[in-house]
Amino acid sequence: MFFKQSLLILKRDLKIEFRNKSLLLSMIIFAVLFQVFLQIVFDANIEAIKKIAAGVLWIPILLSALLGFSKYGIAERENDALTGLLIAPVDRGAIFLGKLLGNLLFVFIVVIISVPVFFLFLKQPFPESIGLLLFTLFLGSWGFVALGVFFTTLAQSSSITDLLVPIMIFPLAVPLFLAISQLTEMALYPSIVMGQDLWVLLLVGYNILFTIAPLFLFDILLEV
Amino acid sequence: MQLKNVSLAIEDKPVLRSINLNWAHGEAIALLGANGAGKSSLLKVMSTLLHPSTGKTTMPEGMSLQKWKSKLGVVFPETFLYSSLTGYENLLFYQKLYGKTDNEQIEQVFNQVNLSRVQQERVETYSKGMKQRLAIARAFVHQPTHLLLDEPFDGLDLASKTILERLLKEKNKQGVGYVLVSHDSAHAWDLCDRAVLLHNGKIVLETPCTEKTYRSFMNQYQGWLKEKQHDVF
Ligand SMILES: Nc1ncnc2c1ncn2[C@@H]1O[C@H](COP(=O)(O)OP(=O)(O)O)[C@@H](O)[C@H]1O
Ligand SMILES: [Mg+2]
Repeated sequence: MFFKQSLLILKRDLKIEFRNKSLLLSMIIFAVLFQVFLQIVFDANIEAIKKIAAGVLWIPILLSALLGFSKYGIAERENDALTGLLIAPVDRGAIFLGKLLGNLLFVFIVVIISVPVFFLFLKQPFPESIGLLLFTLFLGSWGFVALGVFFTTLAQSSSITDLLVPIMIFPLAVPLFLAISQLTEMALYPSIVMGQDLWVLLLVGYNILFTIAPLFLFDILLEV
Repeated sequence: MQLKNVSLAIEDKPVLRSINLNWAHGEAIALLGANGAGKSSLLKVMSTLLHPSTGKTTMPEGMSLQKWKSKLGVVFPETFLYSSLTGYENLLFYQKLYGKTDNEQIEQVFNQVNLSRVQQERVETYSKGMKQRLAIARAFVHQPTHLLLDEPFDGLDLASKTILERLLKEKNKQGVGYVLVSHDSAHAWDLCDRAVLLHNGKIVLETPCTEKTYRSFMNQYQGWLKEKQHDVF
């Protein structure tokens, strides 16, 4: 029942998105534009971009994900459809999971399009370790999306306004940012290899925490 | 369902005060009262959307919360509909949400609210009355045994009102109970076993709905309406 309902919510969101074609497209355009912009800014200096390559790779993805969070509850806000979900025998964790999967899908699509653009412009054609890069991209965006969807779901059904969500996300996102910037640097350039296992462990732990905990937390947090 | 001494405050403002109400299985209750009396809030408490500040709600026969929710059908002022989905997709979504798949039931409710012709069209193309009828169909699509209806006749034309009246009577015969909020007492009288009058968050009058009781109920209702709000306490 739990997973069926999550998939049901996911499928409904995708159907609505497919018809309106608003969110995914703007997320992609936003990320690619931003990626191109950053590349142009740093184009003159290859050594400079080495130092901030992880940032140039990630910033468009993270901001594009944030754009997704802000549009997160549009389907439910219309006609108070959220209440329609809440009066049904649906676990809030199932709503979270459905929303998480939808947001993840969109962000992964953004990653698939914007990362090749990054390498297209970068003068160094190949990363040091493709495996580590893919791993970091996958878990890094997963962790950020899980964190974001968690807070947006929380905001949606309490008195916190949507505007506060990015502000609340950032302190909790710091360990994630550290892990993905370190791991991305290691994946891109051979010279820096330090404490890789530790960062991998942090990233994995972070993802587990922010994916699994919300599944159970909502009913405790919101049934006050 | 049973409410015992239920009080509700929203942002420190008392909205419901010591409500005691027993909703027997299959019973049709008309919930009447002026604007702001607390009718919608009371329905929200019964649907478990709002939790009472004090007092207790008990589900029928020790039903669990999830069980109670699955038996409940709700028509609230908002339709809960997704406007870029078709009427059919909306009903299918809500039916599956309740763990059911029964296409015949969907066909049947579309027939009952007279929307079969437009079920494959997007809800954004519907008129207000059609949306309201679809919201009613949505409330019935998982075959609930208890209904909470917050002014369900709002926005319906005469023909649709008749359809809904007939539907409610038919369901009631099959053992489905409902709490019907309406500002048209005469209209509601015809559809209820018992009438409950809410005034400033308090139940001030309860009477069975018969022809004999109607006149005296209306007299008292009018009396309460004239009362200034603060005079009651
Ligand atoms: N979300 C809310 N915030 C503040 N006050 C509310 C809220 N919901 C209801 N109220 C107050 O509770 C009272 C009862 O409202 P309601 O239950 O909607 O009455 P009715 O449905 O009988 O018109 C009103 O005075 C209203 O102002
Ligand atoms: Mg109301």
